[in-house]
Amino acid sequence: MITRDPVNMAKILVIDDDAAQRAILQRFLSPLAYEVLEAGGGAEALELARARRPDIVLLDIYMPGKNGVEVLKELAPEMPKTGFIMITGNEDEEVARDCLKFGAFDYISKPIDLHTLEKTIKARLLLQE
Amino acid sequence: MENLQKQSARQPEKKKMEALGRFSCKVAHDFNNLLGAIEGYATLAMNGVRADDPLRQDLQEIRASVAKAAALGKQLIVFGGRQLLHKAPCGINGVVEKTLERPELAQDGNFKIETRLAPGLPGIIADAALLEQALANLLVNAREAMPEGGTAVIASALLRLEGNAVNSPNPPEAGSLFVKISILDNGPGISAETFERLFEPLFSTSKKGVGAGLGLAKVYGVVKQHNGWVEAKSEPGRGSEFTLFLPAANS
Repeated sequence: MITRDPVNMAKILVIDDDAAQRAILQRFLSPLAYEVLEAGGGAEALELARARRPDIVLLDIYMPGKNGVEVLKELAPEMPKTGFIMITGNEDEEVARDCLKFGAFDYISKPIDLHTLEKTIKARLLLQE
Repeated sequence: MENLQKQSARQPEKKKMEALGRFSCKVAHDFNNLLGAIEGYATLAMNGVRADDPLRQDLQEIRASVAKAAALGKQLIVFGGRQLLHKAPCGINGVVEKTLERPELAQDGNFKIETRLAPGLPGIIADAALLEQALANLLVNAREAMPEGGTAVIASALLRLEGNAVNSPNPPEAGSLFVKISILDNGPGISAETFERLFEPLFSTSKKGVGAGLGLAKVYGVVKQHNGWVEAKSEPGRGSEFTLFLPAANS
């Protein structure tokens, strides 16, 4: 188990254009003692990520405007300690695999199984300890 | 048998199929997001319910339905031709032989499969497992078309095609050398009405419930993703023939 003091709570940035999806992740992750940040689009996400340096980024691939792959390509080289987990619809699994080459730690398919996601996040945070 | 399709081999109508493909992918994508919300809140609700609460089972049922709906969405993506492929060089005759080992195609006194495979065919670049599924689908259909029993034929051949005869999504990449695989049955044939709708997703003449209608739509999607195409032919009283055309490697 990872123990962090409250001031050093792990920060998770959720990037998804779907507000309902962000709300679920917020609702699920907050009680697990993570600080959850939200961004509804790529441009907003870049700004927030640079300002807050999250430990984990949950990144939706298919977003209007700047998509998840573009966000990953910009942020991953800047934040080698951050774990990027891609969220993928059925149709972009191939893209999700490519993301592993661009520095993503893992990917998870929609509809998201929250318990699987929790395990993936914990696994990544252990690596980052 | 009234009103049977007499015309020569035809393919699914291109414009209609493309529109259906786009529609399927869009619906699958949007439904997937909604399923995410249902799955998420069901899981959250379950977290707050004691292990012995009967509500837990109800929530579990909701999640099981979400999984089924997600699988249906995945099949729509297959039809739309946007699934993930694992392509590698392989031989079509080898794929046919593996298909025939499948338990659902076990031959018995009533049902036989005759193979007529051309020797020395050039290789193809394909997802062998998916092609196998497509061929198995067509053979199961052939068996169902002959409820009294009969012999289905699966044949492979090499052919050279040029110009308008090439119906690949990307003709320059396909070249002019193709392997074709045909599956024939000698059932009663397909009515004109059914023939029109043969490759539509969710269209089915059997009543087996959800999922039954994706057989030919899936075949259509898989072949398209291999830069090939599918043709259907049906004659009254003489059965049906489905033919897949796949570009030969390095042609």
